[in-house]
Amino acid sequence: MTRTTTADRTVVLALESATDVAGVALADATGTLASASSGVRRRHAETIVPAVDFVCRVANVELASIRAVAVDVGPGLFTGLRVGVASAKAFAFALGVPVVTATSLELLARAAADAVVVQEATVVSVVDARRGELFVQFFRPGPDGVEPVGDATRQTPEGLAAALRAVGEPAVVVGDGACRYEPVLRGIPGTTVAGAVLAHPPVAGLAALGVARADKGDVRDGASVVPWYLRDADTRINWERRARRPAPGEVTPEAVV
Amino acid sequence: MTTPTEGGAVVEPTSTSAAASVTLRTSSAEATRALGSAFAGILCAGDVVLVAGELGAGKTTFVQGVAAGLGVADHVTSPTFTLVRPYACDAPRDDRVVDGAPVRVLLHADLYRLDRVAEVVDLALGELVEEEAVAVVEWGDVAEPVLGRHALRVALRSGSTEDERLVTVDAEGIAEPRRTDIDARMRAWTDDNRPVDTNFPGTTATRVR
Repeated sequence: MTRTTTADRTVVLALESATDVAGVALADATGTLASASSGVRRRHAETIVPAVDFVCRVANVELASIRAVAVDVGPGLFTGLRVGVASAKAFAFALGVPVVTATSLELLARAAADAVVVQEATVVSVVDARRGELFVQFFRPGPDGVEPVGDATRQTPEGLAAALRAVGEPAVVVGDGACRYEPVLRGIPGTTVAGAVLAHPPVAGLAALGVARADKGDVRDGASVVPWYLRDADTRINWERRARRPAPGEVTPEAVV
Repeated sequence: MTTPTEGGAVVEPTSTSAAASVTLRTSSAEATRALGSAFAGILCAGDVVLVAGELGAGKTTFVQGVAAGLGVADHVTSPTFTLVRPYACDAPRDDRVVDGAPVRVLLHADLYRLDRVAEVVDLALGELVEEEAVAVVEWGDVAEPVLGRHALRVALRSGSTEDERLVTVDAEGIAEPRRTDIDARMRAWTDDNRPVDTNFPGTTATRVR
């Protein structure tokens, strides 16, 4: 085995699993070297690692030439994000390389902005949050591709429709949430709902962004990377308002039969 | 408002149109189980059911009935220490009326041991039910911000005797016309209306308290 120096490390490995389509790609300064994706639902864990082996063989890339691992941290599927982030941490740790993070919402917006038709329009990324909710973020085209306009939010399809009516300029809505709730979003003046081609964050786009960010030194230690659930997950369950939940180990009247 | 209807179990009828909930009286653990079994008949794949009630209120008993109604052959126990247990629903009963997508898996969850909303999020129930499943969540009311939208709600509380329970079924989160259909079918249930075979497979006749 030949010794690998930092100069030999030119390739970014991208892992995408925030939505129903899981993907893996390799890219370097010349562009995408190989990519693979699977839309078979709930098989992210089974897909990712074999796909890394596959793209490495297709592109004739040794793992030792990987300089960084790019991962989509969400928001999106809880199970998918855990698989993606855990895999990224594992590869980064094993290879001794940093991690580049990107959000599902910015990846969707970048994919839309790369399409000529949506220049000069607001781009709205919409990821299906399940249970009738959506992860939403508004973007505008900018010098760096797209710039977020405000924070990402979680809202209902009806709430998004109201927000789109208030935009006041052409808006292109992308993502699996847009596809799922297209009937709710259809017919809003100035709004175009993109089709299935822009439903999922493209892993090749993640790989390209990974190269750009690695070039700028916008990288992190894998140990500090966590999924971005975009839930009020830090709150404690309000057991206190429930009068009769006992403390752990406390014997309650009900427990004595 | 409590107005028992003659011969029936509906104790808190609300207005007939767009009713938010119906409360039923069960006279025994067996009846609570039978009500759960009837409730199973209104479930579709993708449903999340939040079951509220204090310790001993009969939440697990109710879920055992739901399991029987969905054709679960396995013994259903409280998942307090496993958090979520999946059961295959491979033998649907003949009297079960299927509203929408058939239910292949019952996910029986219990939030009792959890302290943080993040832990509820980690169960990913909202994603799991999309795989031809329903989730029935004991203590689910404490995580309404995570699970609440479009959820069915069931609340159990003590009645006037030791074995009596008042069971409220709230379909407010369900869109019409299904909400009205659920409401009508739950109102039609009575304690006397339990199936002839009360020896539900996979359940035991444990006393509620």
